[in-house]
Amino acid sequence: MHQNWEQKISSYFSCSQVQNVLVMPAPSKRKRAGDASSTASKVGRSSADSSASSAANTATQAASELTKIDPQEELLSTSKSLFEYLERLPPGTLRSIYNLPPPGGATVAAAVLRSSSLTDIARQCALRLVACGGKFKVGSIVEKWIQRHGQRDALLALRRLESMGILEPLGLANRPGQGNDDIDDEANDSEKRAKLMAKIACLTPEFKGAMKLHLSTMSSSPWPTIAREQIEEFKKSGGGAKSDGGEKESRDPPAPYELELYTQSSWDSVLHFLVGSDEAGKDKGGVEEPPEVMIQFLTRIGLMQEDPDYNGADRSRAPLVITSKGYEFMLRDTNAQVWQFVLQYLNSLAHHNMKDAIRMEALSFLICLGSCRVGEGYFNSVLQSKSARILMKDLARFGLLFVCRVAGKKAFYPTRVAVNLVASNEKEGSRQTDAIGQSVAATRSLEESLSAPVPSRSHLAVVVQTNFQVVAYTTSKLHISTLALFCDVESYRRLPNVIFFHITRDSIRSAFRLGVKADQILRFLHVHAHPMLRNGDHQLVPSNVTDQILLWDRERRRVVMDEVWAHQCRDSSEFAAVGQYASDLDALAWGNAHTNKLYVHFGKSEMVYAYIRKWRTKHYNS
Amino acid sequence: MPPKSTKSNQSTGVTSPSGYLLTCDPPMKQFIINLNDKKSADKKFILEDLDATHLLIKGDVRDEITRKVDEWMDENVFSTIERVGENLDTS
Repeated sequence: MHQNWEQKISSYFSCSQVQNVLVMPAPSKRKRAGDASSTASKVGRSSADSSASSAANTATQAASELTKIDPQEELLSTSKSLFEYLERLPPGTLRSIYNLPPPGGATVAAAVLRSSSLTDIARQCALRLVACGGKFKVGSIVEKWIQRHGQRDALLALRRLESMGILEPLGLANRPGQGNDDIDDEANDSEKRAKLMAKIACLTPEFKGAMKLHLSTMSSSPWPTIAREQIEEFKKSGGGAKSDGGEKESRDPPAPYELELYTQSSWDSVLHFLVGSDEAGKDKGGVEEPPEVMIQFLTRIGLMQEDPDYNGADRSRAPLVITSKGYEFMLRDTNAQVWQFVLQYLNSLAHHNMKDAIRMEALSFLICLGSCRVGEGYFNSVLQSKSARILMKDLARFGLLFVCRVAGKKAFYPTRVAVNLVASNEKEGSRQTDAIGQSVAATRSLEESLSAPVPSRSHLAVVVQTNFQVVAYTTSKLHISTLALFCDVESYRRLPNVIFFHITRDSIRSAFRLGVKADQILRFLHVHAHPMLRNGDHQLVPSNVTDQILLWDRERRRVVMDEVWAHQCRDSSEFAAVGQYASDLDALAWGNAHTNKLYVHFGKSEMVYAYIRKWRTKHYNS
Repeated sequence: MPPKSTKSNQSTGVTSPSGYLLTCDPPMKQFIINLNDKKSADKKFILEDLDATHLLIKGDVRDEITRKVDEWMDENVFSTIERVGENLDTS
């Protein structure tokens, strides 16, 4: 049974012949391409579909299945963060996630409680309910606990708790996206209100159990960490000598900056591929081409497409080129990029017959990772189920985990990206600009690589000067081609480890034409600002440069032209009514109260016209 | 008062577009009016002058307007790339 669906997951994820692409992509990959698999060698920069072998069939089948998605799945697939994803799951699924064996359930419950999915009031209610046995009268909660904030907020909080599977259904539930109007009805209609107030708010046993477990555990990390003593002991007992039996040799646990470098380089291979820099695949020090599952991902998410200018006879051999969505992707920070990939991974499970079980496992594993600390390792044996171990290997490929052998056993080390996937999403709404900058380990690894005598490939530190000169400390072609998206390529100068660019109106405008947005450029400059800038009270990007980029962006919208439908109202009352309706619909383009004339966006004109007819029969016929 | 019979072509719910609403700032509006004035009578594209920032125009001139506006804005850009310090260009 296990065996069976394990294979199925892998087939969603990779072509069946190359199931074991796992763990560290670098050294194994070239060997594999050499020894047998015809698919692997064909992938190159031509489409993965080109191999019409049975291996590719599984993948295309999975891809085509993805196109017929039910609305629930579609909603899930557009989530911008892990918690948004959780919010969109039905309460029943959430409840069974809370019910997972420890540490899964407890950690998820705690993370949900801490996340921005709940308002402060909702959080208070949930915690108080846990403390007082799990049951309380709705009336008392609304009137006695939360007086000050007004009852509307209280009801909204309860509704949210209900939709997150924390409370037993009260009949308030409403999925996100719908309005809150009925809450007002609920609060105003006295009969309904009395009924509601008499109800008992009851925590779901799943959440209550998980929360109690979480509150009573001593350690902050979900699994027992690898202690230094264990490693020492292993070394003393001469464990290193055992490595002759075909097993890989144990090593020292990775240092934080090593983890950081690993994360960056595993992403670099993907990004290099995206921009198509010829550095990829070079023998010496070059970044490997990403595994072909990654390439499939890139086409499936729409970051790359087959070259539309390709003239050859065989369409399926057209090379892949980056799309404008891909450019957008490049300028995002690593966390956002990783989430895209994790989301795709979760989506690819959508048609699996055991999808719920696997998805629950995956979500709880991700959230558990979120409560780990960077630099702490865990033995594989802490993962009980087999599916969790497969998952671990898959996530390692995304650079979320660093897998190695420590003290004679397999172990995994969560990286910064894995930990931040949960943490940074909590602040998603607050327009957090420097996710990387806030991570101390990231800054340190950047500083270390900047001061290294031989420049390494993975770092990028940018100083933007007030004269629109951009100084980028980098040696990577990838970073240069990213910068070249919005900098003037003609006037660059370079030294071995530095490149000087200028930002000009033309260069920024050409970036806009590619579909890059002004705040993506600014965000990119912020995220990759030189660590020295962060120490002082300097601005990461000078304000004149910021303003000018925004002005250049606004310049493009100086003239806006919309197709409209004109309507001449007969009197001012019709004008007022239709105008109100149209502006509620967001369809009103322009109106003149003196001539009673309205201009409505053409796309919505039929709806407005239907309203006008209704309004006229009602008012002029009576 | 019953609905007008002249609207019979619309009674099926089909509306036809009246033109394009152009929104811009007042100086830009003057520039566009100037473009319109330079055209011969049969090629004028402004259907209605609505207010200081809105015009109703014909749809087929949109590309031309965008192009002319871009050209006009390009004329007003003065950029010099300053080369402070040593010129490191070795080519």
